[in-house]
Amino acid sequence: MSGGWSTRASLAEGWAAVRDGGALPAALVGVVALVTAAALAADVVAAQRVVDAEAAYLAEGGDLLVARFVGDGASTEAAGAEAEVDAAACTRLGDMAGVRGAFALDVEPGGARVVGRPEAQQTVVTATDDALDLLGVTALAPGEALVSSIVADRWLWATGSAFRLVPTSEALGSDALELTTAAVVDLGLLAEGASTGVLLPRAATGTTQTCYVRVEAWARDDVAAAVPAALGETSDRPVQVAERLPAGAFARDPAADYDGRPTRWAGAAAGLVTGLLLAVVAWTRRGRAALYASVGVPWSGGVVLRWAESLLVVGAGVAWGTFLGATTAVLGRGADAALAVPLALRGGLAALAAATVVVVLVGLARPPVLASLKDRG
Amino acid sequence: MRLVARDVVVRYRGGDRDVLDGASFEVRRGEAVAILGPSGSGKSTLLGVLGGLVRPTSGTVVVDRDRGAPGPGAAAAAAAGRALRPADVSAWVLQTTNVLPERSALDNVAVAARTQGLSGPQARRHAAQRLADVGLAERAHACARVLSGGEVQRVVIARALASGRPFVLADEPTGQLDRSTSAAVLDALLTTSAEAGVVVVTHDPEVAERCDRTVRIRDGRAERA
Repeated sequence: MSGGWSTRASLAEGWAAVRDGGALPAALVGVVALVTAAALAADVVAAQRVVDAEAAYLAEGGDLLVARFVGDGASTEAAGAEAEVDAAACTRLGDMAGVRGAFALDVEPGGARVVGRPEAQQTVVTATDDALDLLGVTALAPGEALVSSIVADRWLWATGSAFRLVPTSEALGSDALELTTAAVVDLGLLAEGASTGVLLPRAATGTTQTCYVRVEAWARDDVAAAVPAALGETSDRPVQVAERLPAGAFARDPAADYDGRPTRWAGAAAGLVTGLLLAVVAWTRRGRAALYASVGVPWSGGVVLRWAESLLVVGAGVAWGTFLGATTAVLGRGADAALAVPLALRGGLAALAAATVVVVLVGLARPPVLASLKDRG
Repeated sequence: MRLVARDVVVRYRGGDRDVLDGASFEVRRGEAVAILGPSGSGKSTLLGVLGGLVRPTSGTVVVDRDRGAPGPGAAAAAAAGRALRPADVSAWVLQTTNVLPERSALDNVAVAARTQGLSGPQARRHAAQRLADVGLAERAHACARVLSGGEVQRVVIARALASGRPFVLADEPTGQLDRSTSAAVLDALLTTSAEAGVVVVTHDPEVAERCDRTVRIRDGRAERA
């Protein structure tokens, strides 16, 4: 800035223009806020849809791969399949990149008799530790079992209920089991046949019918390709790796969906729109810029003045719009606040950045002073 | 100090003729010069050239600093490390309303005062004095949009004075005012700007009569009337 006119004077004039500007600055702040709020609310709602879809997909077991040997009499059904998978090798899969957990799982339909319930055969599920994490249970103490909700309803069991099982399957041993219900859960997540079962923890030793692998969506193909070799596949004993859910249900990648949502750049787009709106307003008010120039305000001083005036409007509008957008998404569309707030803040910053770029560039414009003063420009 | 234009030619982009065709003009600090001429003759263009707001196609416009104090524009030029330019020494009074309508008369004048490097409070005191000079002390805090046409023009004159620039360039400053208001505005312009060089573009012979000399624009050239 040259001569007597100071940067401070430019900032003061910019502030005064907004403060004393009456309806126009207020209207511009309102428009900027509405454009920003609409864009950010749309993005939060779109992101929430992806998150909800992922949650539903995980709740259905969409992140599970099921590996088992096939051929030579081995069944492709989990229930009753021949136990050929090494349980230790299965649990070691949990150390692979992109694997959130791996567990050995056996389902024994009618594997035990319930003491006190004559003629009642009970499906018994045995699984290694990572299965508990999938079911939302931290650990089971000795003598504790998980009971499926169907069984709990049938026998009127609840958390803490004690019961006895007498094994009828050799795989479960021969001694009666004194058990306590640690929790009632949906075991159908593991396999169709497990939905009427009682789950007992087992050690990662010996063999198992199936090996379950929880994978990150991005690693699904690589893990699926690596599992057979890790489980000891041979040419005459191939390992089948299948999705726990029916084909296609695992086709979506939530992370990719989140990154690729069409509203991802809505904040920046809103910023560009508001920046262009302010550019139009600046053009219609170019006489003001010329007026300052005509009274001796240097061009650099006028630039700072215009930046200050516009950025005050943009800042106030975007801040308000960010608040409105997040609030609308949370209260109006049921979005999760933990998702909406950071997403709206990031979108607001993007809107601010985009609008600032436009405002800064527009502020550099130098309209013809005399023509603008005489309204010929 | 003089503002001197020599052999100025101006043709606007897309224009089919030279608006000014070798016009020469000079104004000294302390004198008032009227520029007369029919519409489209180039009066305002000459004024724009003198004030540095219109770039001539050819010819020169210089600030001759042999006489008189340099004024605040000189400080600005020196701070920027360049020669003094016409725009550094001239203030404007236009026919159309050229004020910040939502701001007070005082604020409008204070803007120009701040170009002299005055702080906010100093600029407001200076502006209040300039408004008093043009008879608007009691209207200092009125919003510009509620002022009458004559009051607005006096605010603009006060603003030109507050800038401290040695030349005031007025383009039909009374063009939209009635006779009595015109007289008051002209009084304010010529009386309060007595130490400045004043150039007034006008159609009004009575305005020209109030000036020290008159120049007529004819065929793109400036002739002494």
